[in-house]
Amino acid sequence: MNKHEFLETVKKQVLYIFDRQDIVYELSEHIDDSARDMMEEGLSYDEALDIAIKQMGNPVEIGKELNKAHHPFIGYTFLISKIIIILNIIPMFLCVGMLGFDTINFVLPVSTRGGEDVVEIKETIELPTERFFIDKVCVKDDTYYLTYRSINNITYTRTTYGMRPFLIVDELGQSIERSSNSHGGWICDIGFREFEMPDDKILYLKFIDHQIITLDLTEYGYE
Amino acid sequence: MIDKGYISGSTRLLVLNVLQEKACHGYEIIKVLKLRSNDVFDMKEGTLYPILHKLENDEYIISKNEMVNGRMRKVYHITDKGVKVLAEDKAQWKEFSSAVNQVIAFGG
Amino acid sequence: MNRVRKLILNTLVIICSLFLIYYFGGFYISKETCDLHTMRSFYVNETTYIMEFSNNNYTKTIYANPEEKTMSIVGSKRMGFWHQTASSSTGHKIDMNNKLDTFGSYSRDFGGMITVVYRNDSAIDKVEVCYDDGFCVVLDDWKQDFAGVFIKDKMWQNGIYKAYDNQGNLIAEISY
Repeated sequence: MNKHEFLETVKKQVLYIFDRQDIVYELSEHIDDSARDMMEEGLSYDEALDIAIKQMGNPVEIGKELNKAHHPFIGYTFLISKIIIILNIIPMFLCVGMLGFDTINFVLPVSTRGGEDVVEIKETIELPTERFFIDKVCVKDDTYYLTYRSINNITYTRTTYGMRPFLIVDELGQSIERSSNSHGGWICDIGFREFEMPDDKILYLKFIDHQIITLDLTEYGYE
Repeated sequence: MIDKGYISGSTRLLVLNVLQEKACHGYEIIKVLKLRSNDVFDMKEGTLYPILHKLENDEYIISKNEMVNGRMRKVYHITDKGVKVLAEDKAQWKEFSSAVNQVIAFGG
Repeated sequence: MNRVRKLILNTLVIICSLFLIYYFGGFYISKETCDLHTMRSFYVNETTYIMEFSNNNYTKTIYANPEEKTMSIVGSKRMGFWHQTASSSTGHKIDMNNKLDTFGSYSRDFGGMITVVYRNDSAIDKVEVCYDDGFCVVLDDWKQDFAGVFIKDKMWQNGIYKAYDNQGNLIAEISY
């Protein structure tokens, strides 16, 4: 049997085809090393190669044992799992990125880019689908902002489709908001509302489930 | 020629022992075993490779592609897990071989 | 790490990512839960199932709250085993001042429009609707005082709704 035939026979026994190349190379190098050593002892190239191959043993047996070590079931299942993950890498990366971004945004205090804190509120309001944290009121260039964060209830991950969960109103229920800005993520929201400060310094927050929360800013230390 | 039965049971012990001293590629291991045992261990060389690959699956050795004498070869290194199991194998072998010696000493 | 360990790790990663898709993708096993969450997301409180209309794997289900006198039309879509919120959902406060009230929903992916009427007077036996384009339909299959119809491939239209009692007398009329 020549070297090529030997290696081909071994190769055929290994059913997981992606490991064949490495195996054949390793065995081929071994045969060459063995032949080289024998040539140093005086044998001709052909004789040395022939003996080297014979000394390897039965190629079918070797191949079958190698097949057990490179089991095709594990090999192919692993290959499939690798492909699925590679196909998934970009969406998953985006997912994890979104969640991480969300969490960071939620945990850091809401910044109003240069505003000055006026009064800290730190109230928590529970709605069936989310929990609200009203943080503080701040002022920038004579405009007042109310900052807040909200986090979805864990059994409920869908964001409200563009609805405003609460509105800042006066005693008559009329909105005193000027503009609002919010960043909505998958599990949480942060935002701030620009509003006109009423003279009596009392804010009413009207929530979408008809709750009305009264915030008397003087109670929080505002003059 | 030694009975194959004696060899197959202790191949792991032999191979790991060689690799503990020095990381080798397949052919080197064969040469060391032949040399050290004065040619008593002269197994069919091809059968070493399934053994090496199985040892790698069990994480007792790890293979790395390194340059040896100008050619890229798969070189096997023993792992910490391999060192541990080698020590256990050696202890078991000592126990086994001393028990056999004791028994045949009686036989005369 | 040997191949078996890598395979196990990959399988865990795949399972985690499937779970993320399930959790954030809004997939539900039961349509009821899907509709319930949709209604919670726009903060309505309907308690009773009235009727539903299906077309092409899309379903619009009508729910109502008899105490608060509100109703909603909730859209959902079925994909194999899973249900998802789809096509529009809307809520409506029933006008209790009139004998007859009507509400509707249209969306392109649902493939047509739905008209629902509510009778505030139990003498009403049937309601005849005539739309601006001349198409007329009779609603007389009452489920808890609601009756509805799905008109395929029709875009939203205004029409005149006439309610008759079982003798054929006109009791109420609205245009919507």
